[in-house]
Amino acid sequence: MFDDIHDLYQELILDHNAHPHHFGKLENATHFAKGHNPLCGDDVEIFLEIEDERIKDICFLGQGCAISKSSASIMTDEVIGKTLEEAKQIFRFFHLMLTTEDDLIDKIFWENQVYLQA
Amino acid sequence: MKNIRNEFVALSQTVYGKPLVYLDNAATSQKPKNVVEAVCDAYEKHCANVHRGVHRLSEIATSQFEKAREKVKNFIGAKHLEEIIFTRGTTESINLVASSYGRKNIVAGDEIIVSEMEHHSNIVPWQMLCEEKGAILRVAPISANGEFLFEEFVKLLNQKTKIVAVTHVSNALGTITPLKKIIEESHVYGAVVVVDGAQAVPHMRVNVAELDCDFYAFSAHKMYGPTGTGVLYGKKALLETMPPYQGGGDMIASVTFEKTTYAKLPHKFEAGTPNIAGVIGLGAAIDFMNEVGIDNIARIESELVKDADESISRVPGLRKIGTAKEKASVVSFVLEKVHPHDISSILDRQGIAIRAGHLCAQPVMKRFNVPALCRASFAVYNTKEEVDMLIKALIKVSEVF
Repeated sequence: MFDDIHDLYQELILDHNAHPHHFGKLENATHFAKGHNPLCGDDVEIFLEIEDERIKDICFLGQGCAISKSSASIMTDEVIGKTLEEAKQIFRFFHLMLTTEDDLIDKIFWENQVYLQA
Repeated sequence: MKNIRNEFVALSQTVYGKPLVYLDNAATSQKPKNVVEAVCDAYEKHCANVHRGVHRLSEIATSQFEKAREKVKNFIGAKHLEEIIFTRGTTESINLVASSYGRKNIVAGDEIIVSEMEHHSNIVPWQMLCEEKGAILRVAPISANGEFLFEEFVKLLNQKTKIVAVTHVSNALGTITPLKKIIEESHVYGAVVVVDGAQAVPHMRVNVAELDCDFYAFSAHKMYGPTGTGVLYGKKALLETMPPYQGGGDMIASVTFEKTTYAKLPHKFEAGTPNIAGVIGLGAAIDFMNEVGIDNIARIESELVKDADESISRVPGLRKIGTAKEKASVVSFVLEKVHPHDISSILDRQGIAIRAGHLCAQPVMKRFNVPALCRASFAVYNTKEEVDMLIKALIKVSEVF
């Protein structure tokens, strides 16, 4: 009856939710942003330490559902150490993926392989 | 009525391949066939504007529209037909009172009392009024069980209290407030009482004359009727002294550029073409509730709530929010380590619809120190089997996380 729960709640998400990466406050933060979604009540705070146009360190705090929390956690893994331009590119791609019809995603993925492997 | 569920086409569908278990009735109820047919007929058979046309269709539309007013009046025990004002819903009904009665009668330094368990729609209009007039908003606290603390409320009352705005049944906690006592005590100080009845009228017998409330607001869509239609009951003597809420057609007696005279009650407060099909649908919803019997509805639902309240305690790590002695329709809870939205998403995949979030009652979330909560809410068509499915699914959720 409950097998399909794991379609949505994969181990990856459950792991990040239970043990989020880079969860906490960054004392040396050079940049800070706060996001609040009044619709679902998610609260996320992001702390960044940027040096020479590069994300030297990143942390987040907040509360939300497992999807929201694990997304934030995975994002910190993805962007840490990247240049600002690389991080922006990742954001653009991710945003496109979320806002595009399913059958187009593969195409976008393929077209972006070059960047992602780089 | 033999099988209530057969009257609801929506209930026989599947969601993600599972039979739909609809437990989000406090948000909106499903609609029985007779309501859908009444709305359909209003558009297919006698679609015309009301109160104007001198032609057959307009006569039928007007007569059905006004018949619905009569049904509402009888259903809530109002004394006069003109005490029933049709609005877009509870929110507009409360805004009408705040805007018309409030603006006319509230001055700087006056006090308005709301309870801690109000829905945002019974907080924000009063805050806006207080801000405009320099009046003061007082908050009557609730207990750790989610009970209305009557003694604490009484302490807030004084000669400056002009309005008491309180819910009949809390949408987040299910608490039934001691309304009769609240109204009696408020009247001692000359305050008028505005009741948010959105969660009460669908579930219990309400008699506004016996309650002696000054205003009572509710929505059609939570009581098996269409969305976009609601009611404001107001005592005739009060409504007569109040200025119109909106200006326009239907609310006037005569218009010249020098002076406009307003229509009599209830039309004074019904500017513009109303939701005609919605109002007719509300009439049909009342027919449905009368046919099932409001006491039967109350009995069936209270058995479901009692059952759910007891069996939900079996779920590991579950904390119930709102455990008042007198409750209607609602079982709210949080699960340790699992965000309410995750619970709702997982239940959704099992075909079970509940509400997760702040339930438009953020002060309640603050009171119980939770960011959001889950709410299962029942209607007359729900079953014990559905309660069991909910509990089983919740136990599974607690295992997955």
